[in-house]
Amino acid sequence: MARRLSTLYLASQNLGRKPARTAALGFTAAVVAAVLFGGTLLVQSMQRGLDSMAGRLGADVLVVPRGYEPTMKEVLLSGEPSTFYMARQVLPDVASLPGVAQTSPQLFIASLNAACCTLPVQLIGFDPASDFSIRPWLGNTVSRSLKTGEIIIGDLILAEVGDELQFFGQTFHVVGKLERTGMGLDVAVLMSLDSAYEMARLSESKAVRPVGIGSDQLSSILVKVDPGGDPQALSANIVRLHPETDVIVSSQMIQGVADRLRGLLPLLYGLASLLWIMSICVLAAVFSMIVNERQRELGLLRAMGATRRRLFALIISESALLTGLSAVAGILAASLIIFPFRDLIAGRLGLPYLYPPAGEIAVLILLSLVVTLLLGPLASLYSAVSASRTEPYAMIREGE
Amino acid sequence: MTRALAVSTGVLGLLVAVVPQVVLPVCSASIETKAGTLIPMKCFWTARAELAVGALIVLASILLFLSRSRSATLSLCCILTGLGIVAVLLPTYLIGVCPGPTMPCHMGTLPGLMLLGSLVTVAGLAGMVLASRRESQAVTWPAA
Repeated sequence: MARRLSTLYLASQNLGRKPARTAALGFTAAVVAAVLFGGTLLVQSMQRGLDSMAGRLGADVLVVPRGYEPTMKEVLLSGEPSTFYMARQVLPDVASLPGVAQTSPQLFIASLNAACCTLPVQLIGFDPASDFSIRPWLGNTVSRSLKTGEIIIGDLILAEVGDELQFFGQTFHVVGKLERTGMGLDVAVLMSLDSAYEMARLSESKAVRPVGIGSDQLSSILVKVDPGGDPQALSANIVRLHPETDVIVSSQMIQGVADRLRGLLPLLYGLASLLWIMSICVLAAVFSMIVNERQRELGLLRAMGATRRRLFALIISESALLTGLSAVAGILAASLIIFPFRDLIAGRLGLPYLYPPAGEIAVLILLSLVVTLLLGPLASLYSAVSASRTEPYAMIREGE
Repeated sequence: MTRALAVSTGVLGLLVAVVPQVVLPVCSASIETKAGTLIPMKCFWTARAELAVGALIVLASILLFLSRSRSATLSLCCILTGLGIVAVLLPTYLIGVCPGPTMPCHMGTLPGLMLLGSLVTVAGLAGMVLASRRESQAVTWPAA
């Protein structure tokens, strides 16, 4: 049965005739699509993680022992387990300073290798009575206060509600599991401050290596500033009062990370634009070569009745088909790296990392697809116009 | 086309063998029993087994590269498909990796091997389709 010579059929046959050349050209376009989609998704995920953290951190100022500012940032951003402490006396002194609306103490203890996790995890003791930082993350997980011996675990801790976990020779009951936060809380175990002190006390007799923290010590103080108050001025006052402390102004910390991300964006889009322009140049040169090489064939098509518009459509479809399929391959390749290796990427970045909602990802896929697809038609436009304008006789003679 | 496929699966086989050892290594820590003996975690055995599976994929790819007969190509592609499936099943079902989501073998080696194994499977299936197509074309060729 005779096959109808549709434009798309002819275009696909032409591409299939030279598989090596088609693959090489397709690779260029696929790289553009992969960089556009993968890079943008990566940066958007970091931005979303950061926004989520900024919205829920709660504290305007964090007071930590002197020299532990970078450690505290690691704990917050990537959950790097650490143990550090300062005198509890700092708490009432900070609370009594003018401009302080609310304070809440926290205790950070790095666990030993735990059965659930094998690698150390961050144990966080918080005061349920004064807490304003952990509560927003809990949502409906646990509506009541935590009792001694009860814990709430981060999303990446390998246990479920109802399980029992051992820390420092003592058993804790999991009463809640947080949703994915994209930050350090994902690999943390939360307990009440009383539980943490009790665990530290009993670890002297029950654990291989005691915690070494007394109930007169704590790791950080979260401070909420009065509305209209100046966190900078307050932090200066705190350091003046207690020179053995360091103060982190959370807006500055988030701003610092946000600035680093903002610095990445122009680099990413610059690279993608450069690749896009380079691809256009390469494709334009190759399509001009292809059209020259096929003068006779195109002339014969015209002689057999193909209109100028049909010839133009044929060349444009060929390039669009090539870049369209390459865009799909590029996006697929980027997805095969970005989605399965989510936790690895997040861990290596050391930054809060949360994927945008499915709808936004779909829009991003569509945009990357369209931008890459446009490469072909734009690159072959000149060749298509010039081929469609040439007379069939001249084309056939030129091709001889 | 078959030769290009053989080179691709050969590289993938090499990666299946090397990735769990070097690129995305499994956990290096051991579990200490109550008796004080150190035993490797199960991801260690997955990495060992993948070494053998990777080597077999490379061997099958070399044979595929050298094969001339259509039936040999079809058989080798079938074997590659099976080996790809085994490469995926080892870390997911047959042996497994450490269950902790933050463990190196869970975050890196597992998705890496699943990806590589799937690619070998897809390549093997593609080779089978290509080989059977050639076979059907050969049958329909008119006798002289």
